[in-house]
Amino acid sequence: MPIKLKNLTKKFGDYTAVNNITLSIEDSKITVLIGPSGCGKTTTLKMINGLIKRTEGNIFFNEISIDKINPIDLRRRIGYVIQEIGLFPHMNVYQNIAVVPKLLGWKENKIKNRINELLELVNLNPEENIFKYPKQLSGGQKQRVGVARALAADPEILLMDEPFGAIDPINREKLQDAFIDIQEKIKKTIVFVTHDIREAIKLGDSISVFNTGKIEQSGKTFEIIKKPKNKFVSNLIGNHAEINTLEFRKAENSIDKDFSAVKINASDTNLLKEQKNSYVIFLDDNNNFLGILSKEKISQLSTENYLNNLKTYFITPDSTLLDAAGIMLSKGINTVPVISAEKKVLGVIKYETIFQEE
Amino acid sequence: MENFIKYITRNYEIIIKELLNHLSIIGIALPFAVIIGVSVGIIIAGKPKISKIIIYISGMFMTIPSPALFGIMIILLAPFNAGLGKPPAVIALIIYSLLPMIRNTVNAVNSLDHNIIEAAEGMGMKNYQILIKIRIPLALPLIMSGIRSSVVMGVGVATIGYYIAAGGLGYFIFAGLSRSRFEMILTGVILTAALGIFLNYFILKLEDIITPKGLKISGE
Amino acid sequence: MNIFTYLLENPDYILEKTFQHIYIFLISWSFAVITGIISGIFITREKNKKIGRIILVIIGITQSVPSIAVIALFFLFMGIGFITAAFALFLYSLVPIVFNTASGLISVDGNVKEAALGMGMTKKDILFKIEIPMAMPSVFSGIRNSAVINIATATVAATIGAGGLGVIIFTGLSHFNASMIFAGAVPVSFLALSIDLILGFLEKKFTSEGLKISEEG
Ligand SMILES: Nc1ncnc2c1ncn2[C@@H]1O[C@H](COP(=O)(O)OP(=O)(O)OP(=O)(O)O)[C@@H](O)[C@H]1O
Ligand SMILES: [Mg+2]
Repeated sequence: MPIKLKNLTKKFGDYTAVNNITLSIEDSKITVLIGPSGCGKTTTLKMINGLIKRTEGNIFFNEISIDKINPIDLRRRIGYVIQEIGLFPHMNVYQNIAVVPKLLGWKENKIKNRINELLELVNLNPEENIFKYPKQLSGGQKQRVGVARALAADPEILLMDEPFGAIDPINREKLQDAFIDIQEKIKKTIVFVTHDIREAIKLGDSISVFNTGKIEQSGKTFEIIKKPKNKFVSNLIGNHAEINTLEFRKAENSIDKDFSAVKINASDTNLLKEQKNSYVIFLDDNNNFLGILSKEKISQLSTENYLNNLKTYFITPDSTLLDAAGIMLSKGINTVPVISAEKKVLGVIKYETIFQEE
Repeated sequence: MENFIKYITRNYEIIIKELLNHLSIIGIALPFAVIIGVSVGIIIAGKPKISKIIIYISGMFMTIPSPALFGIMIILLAPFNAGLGKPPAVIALIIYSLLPMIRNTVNAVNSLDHNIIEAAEGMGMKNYQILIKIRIPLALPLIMSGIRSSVVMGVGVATIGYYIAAGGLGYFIFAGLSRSRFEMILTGVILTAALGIFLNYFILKLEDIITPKGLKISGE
Repeated sequence: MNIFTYLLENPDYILEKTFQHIYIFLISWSFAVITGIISGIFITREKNKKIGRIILVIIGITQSVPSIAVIALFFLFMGIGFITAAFALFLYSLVPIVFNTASGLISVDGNVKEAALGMGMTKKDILFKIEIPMAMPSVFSGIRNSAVINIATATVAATIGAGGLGVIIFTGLSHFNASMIFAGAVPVSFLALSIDLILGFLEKKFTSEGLKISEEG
């Protein structure tokens, strides 16, 4: 469900915590709110589920104003994961996850099935964990239960306030990966608050940069990285942001189909010179990948020597652009072939694609 | 009210005497209670089963009503010619103090983080150094709050001393009750209440002073 | 003379006093439990925070006032009699219950409450499903404390007309009659221990497992 924040303002007494922000939160996407401590991220999030009453402006769910929705109903339809998880210590994992379904009056059987499903989704063994109490879980496990609990009644919206903040870096990375997989399956509208720009880039389809109650910039993650609007945003993103983003971008999404490939036995010099790309991919009789050579190199070599000099670097579609960039930089080339498990050429990653997109 | 003011201005000497009596019963009992309670606590800490039993038994003593315990003390001490006066009152008070003293000591010792002790050992501290530099300072606040419970309880318990000729503020209350002398009762009520509140506050401040700074920073 | 003599020779009288003791205990204490828990809840509600803080300070102070002072004070206002004694006992056993209920409720983690609110629980849901169950250990420790204190204090309240086993003990004390003191004291201790046992059992039943697990275990 898309959410619109319109001229939203929150004042605590004289202090303006959120100052006239307008933001469109896209359906089925992860929108990250990022910014320094105290800039109003949590306040914004809590206005969305009505835990904090706005001072001015409005919030729309599917174009329906929040004023027209009963706050209790609203919250039961929005999953909420908070900074410190907030699992109920007197309830076991099952009971914790069952809270909202029970409030909604689900049948016990339906709840049971749902909980098994959710625990599998967040990668926790149901039999082992269902009767455990929060104190018997590790930090990462608690966090997974927190996510499962938020998803319990299949809400359309998920609000997550630094859900991985308290987890050590290694486990945080794992949880983020798991979370990406989960979102791929569930496709919820997620508003995700974080302090961590790396996390924002990794998870966010869009990012909104907050500063002292205002939005400095919001847009697609790449727009923000490529075109930071001002000093604040570029400082937040840091110098290496572009390189960093490569790590989170799958090669398969950036494949360029515009490449030159020839069968090795058809490789007479003229044919090769006619290829318009600066690199030529060589295939065997079955159209399987053999190697790649630059046209420059081709012109220096005699036909018989092609085979011996073929460069055999390639990446697979699930590699990241960072892998591609690594090969380019270390081998001094600007095109890397993407090869399927069946050795077929899917396309290439070009230097320009990586570093000059959009 | 007039009677009351008349009463205290005429009897301030008795008031002071009984107040001192009251304090001396508590004051004499306290060191014994601390020594016995803390040593028992230290000995049994770390032995969960024994701790549980000892704490349960000292809890049972607490259920003996104070006038009964005083009475029993008289009888038990009579053969030693100490049946009346302060000794039975003091001993009764020591017995009542055992539970808070032992329980808090056990908690204090058990709540010490093993890592801290290991770290101290790792730094080459000797056992007695660990006791003096680590264990005691960290345990002191909890032990102090055990002392506070004992003392505050002692203020009430010591009033029964009146019945066994130990003196104390119980005189004003119980003698007042049996003679229906309102001004006496009021004197007793005010003095015991004020003494309890004062001692509680005083020891609370002490606790605050002896608590190492780092321990005070709690969650909030 | 044997210490058991009085106990063996006057079973009916002792039984009668024991029932009196139980009677005044049950009346004063059960009212204290109900009133105490309700007030504990009341003073911790958001809208009553200010009064709550004041009441908690007063209660904190009252906890260091000896029971005998409270009993004598009520005598001054209400004279001698069962009602006076019961009322004094009621008020005195109220203190630990209010205090523990309130501190149990206050110490419920704010994050937990916020999570509950964020999940769409009503204030009532939060009170009954989150706050009270989480405060249970503290509430019970207040109730148990209060019961033991009440039973012990009731003996002293015999001096202002509470009746009960205190009558036997004080009579014994003024005659230095060990057997009589013993005969009064044994049922008192027995009562206190049994009530505590029963309450301990109830506590186990009504407290979630999850609150008992220590962080390391
Ligand atoms: N209930 C409140 N009363 C008064 N001021 C508040 C209240 N809640 C938040 N604030 C203030 O509003 C500002 C924004 O708070 P908010 O919690 O939204 O920050 P945040 O961006 O989530 O920070 P963090 O990253 O540290 O969680 C802060 O300056 C905070 O002190
Ligand atoms: Mg925040």
